[in-house]
Amino acid sequence: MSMNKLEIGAVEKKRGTVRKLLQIEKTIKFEFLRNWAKLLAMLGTSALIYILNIIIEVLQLNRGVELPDSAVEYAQSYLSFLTLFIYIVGVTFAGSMIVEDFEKNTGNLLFPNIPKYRLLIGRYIARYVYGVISILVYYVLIGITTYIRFDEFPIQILLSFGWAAYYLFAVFAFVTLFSSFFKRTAGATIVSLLVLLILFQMIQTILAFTGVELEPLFFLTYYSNIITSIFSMPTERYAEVPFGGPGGTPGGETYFQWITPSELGAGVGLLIYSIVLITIAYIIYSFRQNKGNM
Amino acid sequence: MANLLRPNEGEIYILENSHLEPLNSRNKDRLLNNIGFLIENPAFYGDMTPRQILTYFGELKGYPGGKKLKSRVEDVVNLVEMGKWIDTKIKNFSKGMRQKIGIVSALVHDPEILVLDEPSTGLDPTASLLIREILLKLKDMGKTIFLSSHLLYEISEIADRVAIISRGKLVAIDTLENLESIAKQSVIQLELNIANGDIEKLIPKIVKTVQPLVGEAQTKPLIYDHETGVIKIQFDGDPRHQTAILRALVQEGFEVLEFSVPKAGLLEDIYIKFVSQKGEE
Repeated sequence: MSMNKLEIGAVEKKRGTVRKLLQIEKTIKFEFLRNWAKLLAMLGTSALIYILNIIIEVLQLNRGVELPDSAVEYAQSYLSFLTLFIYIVGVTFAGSMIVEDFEKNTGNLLFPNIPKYRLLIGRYIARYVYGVISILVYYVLIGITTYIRFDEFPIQILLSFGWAAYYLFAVFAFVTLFSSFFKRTAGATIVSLLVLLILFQMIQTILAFTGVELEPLFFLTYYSNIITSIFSMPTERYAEVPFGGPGGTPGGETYFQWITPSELGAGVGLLIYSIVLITIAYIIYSFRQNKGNM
Repeated sequence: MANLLRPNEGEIYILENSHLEPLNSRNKDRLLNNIGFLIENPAFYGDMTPRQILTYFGELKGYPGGKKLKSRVEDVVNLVEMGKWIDTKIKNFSKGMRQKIGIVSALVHDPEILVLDEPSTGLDPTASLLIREILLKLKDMGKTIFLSSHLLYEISEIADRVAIISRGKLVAIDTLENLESIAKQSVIQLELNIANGDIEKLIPKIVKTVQPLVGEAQTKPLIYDHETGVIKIQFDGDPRHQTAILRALVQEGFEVLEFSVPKAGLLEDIYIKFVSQKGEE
């Protein structure tokens, strides 16, 4: 039985869709293989940060400092290095996301085989999954330790993990953007880490000191606060802090400090951040050409 | 065409289901399925093995997976005599080995057409020879190969048809033999059974013998190499003139040891002639 043009078109479309999904799936598997060593390194880092927290706790106990009263506070105390860890995971997996195709010209062999957007989707998913696993392991360690100490597992740990994973997604988008226009992976990694750790923080502080009361939703780093704040939600969203520390200045001047975004604000803000950054990164990626080696 | 650079102008048509289809972003995936590309100086992920990379490329191009793909990957790697290294990380490979894996990466999904850009660049003579042998094997397997190269010897050894491109413009395209006759230029390499010192005395006689047979536009038909004793006769490439020259030399009583038209230098001469003609226009 022969098919008419419309039927042939429908079959081809279906085949095309299957092929697209297969290419993304194969890319995810390939990226899992390629990034295995990085995952092991991140799991090692996660274990190190956990051990560091344990050492701090033991030192404090030896100095007579008491443990937090509740399981929630105890679990929360383990998150002081988490944001830094998220940034390390983000730049490790996403720093090379796009730039590697041009840095070593590996893209010249890949691009004839797969469209860039499918390559990016596959890579993003695989690396993000590895990133989430790295963080998950840290949360599992916190959960086990809290359970051993308090004989209970606070549900807020799961909520915090959820926000951490969501925040990591946006950090990935941010680093991927840097990866799209830098010439080298090292450059994209170092600069994006510096912007996340120092630049955003610096601008936020300057704005607070100059009396701006606008919620800093436009700074990616601001959203990280919800990862710890979720343990005590609903909580104060901002505070008026006296200049010069607790005693303040003779005039009693204060500045406005935002503590955490709301759950809705963080949910929408991170989504917009991620979509915009990934879209820009993809546009740059799709226009980028490697003429150097041809 | 290979999704690496945006086109400035022009269109590409690819034969699909017995009719030519213009290549565009919608049908690119389907139309390029039957083509394998090798870009100059292929770079791979150093931490991966040929098996892992080739399996991935085969899967991306829709080659049937599982055992079939596994055996296909092993077959193509063996074709370039790299079977021993199939599970070794590519960062440990020499340039020649990487180049071989590059060629294989274009082949793994068994395309009918191969587009190879400078497959022998930067390779040592042994590796270049092997690459040439591989290309000839592929040719015997019935693959259509588009080979771009600056190594004219390589081209003359492999190509059925040659296209000469100068400053982005197609200057000539035909078989090597036809290009010879179009360029009206070819060279016969002649060696006679005469002592070197005596040849020089006989040069005027040889010139007199071959001059009427070399065809048009040959200002200096004979070049004698004192060191090797080889005489080069420049003629118009017409096979009838070639046989006439040989016959005339034998009739004049010369003992001919070698009478050949080497293709390597010939293509170089043809190339220069076409490119300089284009420059004059």
